[in-house]
Amino acid sequence: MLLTIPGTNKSEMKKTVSANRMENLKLKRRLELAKRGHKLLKDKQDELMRNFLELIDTIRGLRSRTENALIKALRRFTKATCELSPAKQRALFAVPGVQFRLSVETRRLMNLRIPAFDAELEGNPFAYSLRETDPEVDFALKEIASALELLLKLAEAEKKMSLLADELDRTRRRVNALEYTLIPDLGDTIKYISQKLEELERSNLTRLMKVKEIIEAEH
Amino acid sequence: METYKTAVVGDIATCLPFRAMGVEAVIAEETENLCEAVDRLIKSREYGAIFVAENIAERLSEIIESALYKPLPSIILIPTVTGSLGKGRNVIRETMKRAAGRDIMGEED
Repeated sequence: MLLTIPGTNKSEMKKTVSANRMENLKLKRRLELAKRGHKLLKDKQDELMRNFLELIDTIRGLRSRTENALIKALRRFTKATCELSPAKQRALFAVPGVQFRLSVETRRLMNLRIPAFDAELEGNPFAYSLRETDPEVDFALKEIASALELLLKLAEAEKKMSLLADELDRTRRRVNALEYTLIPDLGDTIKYISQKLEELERSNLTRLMKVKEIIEAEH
Repeated sequence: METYKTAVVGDIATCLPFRAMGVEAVIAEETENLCEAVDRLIKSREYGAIFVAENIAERLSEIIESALYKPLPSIILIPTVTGSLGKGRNVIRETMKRAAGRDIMGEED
């Protein structure tokens, strides 16, 4: 006996179930599982949100600090080199004396892999003509170096922020799908099957009573 | 633990000091097809962090977005010599919108 369940077309998926006890039992188990999954996902969502909001707080402060430090350093550098011609500037810094390497470690936060940055400087950053540049350039570059450290922290934090946001978005979609589609759908279907079964029970009972009546009338 | 490179994309005044510190620089004025150049940086998978100057971020918005939810590289917007345009803060706000499903910060900043 295959039936299309009325009242479940809230969701687009059309469900055809056979109204029997086995099916009902199966659906009840699925509902139980869906509810448990929903609770777990909800917990995960809360935990992600807590992490995310904490991170946002730090990022706000970090960004303004970094921006200020960087702007200051850039301005200092520009002032220090403004007397040189653009071609000269380029030539002076064309071959840097340092190698800037970024070592990346992957940390785990729940199911997410989040990169953590660490900077490695190799060599001497002041490998340019000291005769042709103002000593101010050295100081500006030192400032740039400390701004760079902040920038890396910011890059790490903002990457974590985006990854968390993405995971939050996905988790929220899943929670909503369970909460507003799957769980109500299963509930409706279970209710429908139980009613159908009760109805069968009743019709069977009346049939038996009728049969009994007929038998009694014959005797 | 793996080692990656770092790059900066921007005008020459922003790029030069970074280059002096050993960060690879993509200078906007000297690069013919900026989008392609940055795309190559990302696709090479050799870069862990890329700093993009705010004033050219719009030209690269598509590429930046495409890398946003990948583990690497981390692309962040940086202010230039002329000061901050506030685009970096906007990124934070946009991300919050995505995380919460709606704008929960309202008019706060």
